Amino acid sequence: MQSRSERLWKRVSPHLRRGIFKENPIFVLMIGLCPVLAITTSVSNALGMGLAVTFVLLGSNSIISCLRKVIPREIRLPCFIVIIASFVTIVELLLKAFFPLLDRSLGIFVPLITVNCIILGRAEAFASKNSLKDSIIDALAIGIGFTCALILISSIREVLGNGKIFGLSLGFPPALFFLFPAGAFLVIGILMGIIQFLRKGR
Amino acid sequence: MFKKTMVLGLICFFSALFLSFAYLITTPIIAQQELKSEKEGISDFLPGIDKIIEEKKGEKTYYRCYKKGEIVGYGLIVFAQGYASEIKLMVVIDKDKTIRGIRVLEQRETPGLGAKISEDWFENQFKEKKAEDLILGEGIEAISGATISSQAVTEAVRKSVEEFEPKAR
Repeated sequence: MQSRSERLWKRVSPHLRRGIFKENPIFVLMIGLCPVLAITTSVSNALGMGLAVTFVLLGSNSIISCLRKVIPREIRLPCFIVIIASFVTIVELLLKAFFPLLDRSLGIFVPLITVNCIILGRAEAFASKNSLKDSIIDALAIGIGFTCALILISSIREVLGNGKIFGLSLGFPPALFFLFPAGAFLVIGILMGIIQFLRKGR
Repeated sequence: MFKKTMVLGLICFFSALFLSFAYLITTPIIAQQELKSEKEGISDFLPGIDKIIEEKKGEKTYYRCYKKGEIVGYGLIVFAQGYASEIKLMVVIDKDKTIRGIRVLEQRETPGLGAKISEDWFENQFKEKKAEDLILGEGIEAISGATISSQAVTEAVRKSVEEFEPKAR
């Protein structure tokens, strides 16, 4: 058993490292930024959005990987979009039914997951060329990377823009600027700079 | 050519099938959730009510609330045009049209700014007020950075309470 779980970890960990650091969808690949700017005003929204995207990615990556030999190359994009849109609609219905508060605060950005380029990007670049097992691991890795990035950005914006953390006041006047999209660009830009600096090692 | 059409057609067919199941299963739960959040608002503000009856007057919907067979108040569904979205509100009033409380049911205003209309401190400002007290800057304090959303809610509540006439029974 020991060796089996070790082997599994050996197989998963490089993917995880790739999803969170080397190919982080937001900070390194810089895709899917639109919802990031809009919903990272609070940590709870960011977590909800991250999990929703991870779920859609998991569903679409596995189905597309299963069908990769059946789908003809010329019509792959419409096929991918139909599959992705179905999963997004399911997420939307589930959120409305079981997490109405989260659904209310995420608003229009749940249906817009359909056009999030992270998901189509993974379908095209990974799931349509790799086995089911690898596609599931890839979806989890990229989803976790996306969620981590959202939480990092939203915690900075919530603290600076609202002057609160977990509903507790921090005792300084909040800078509303950080809640506007311009504030989001600034936070993301500075974080990207720091991460590039660390990656390049100078 | 035929094969391509078949593949895309089949994918669409199965997606549609799958989605109709998901829709069938979740629709009743979603309707229940919406009703629950509306009715919870009413019974928070009019404690002890035991019967709520929905009534429609033209395009407007309101709820008559009974306590031991007597009408004690009304819950009005009010729509306001906010800064970025249409805001749906529940306004609960008693028999002499004093506001017992309001609750934001649906809004898509800017998170962190206009979205603060659904915070307790903003909603609580409306408690125990008459329609004529609802003036932004006097009876009601606006949210900083979100004057349009605050104004929209205040105006819509004032107008709906002023104009409200329960249907003669």
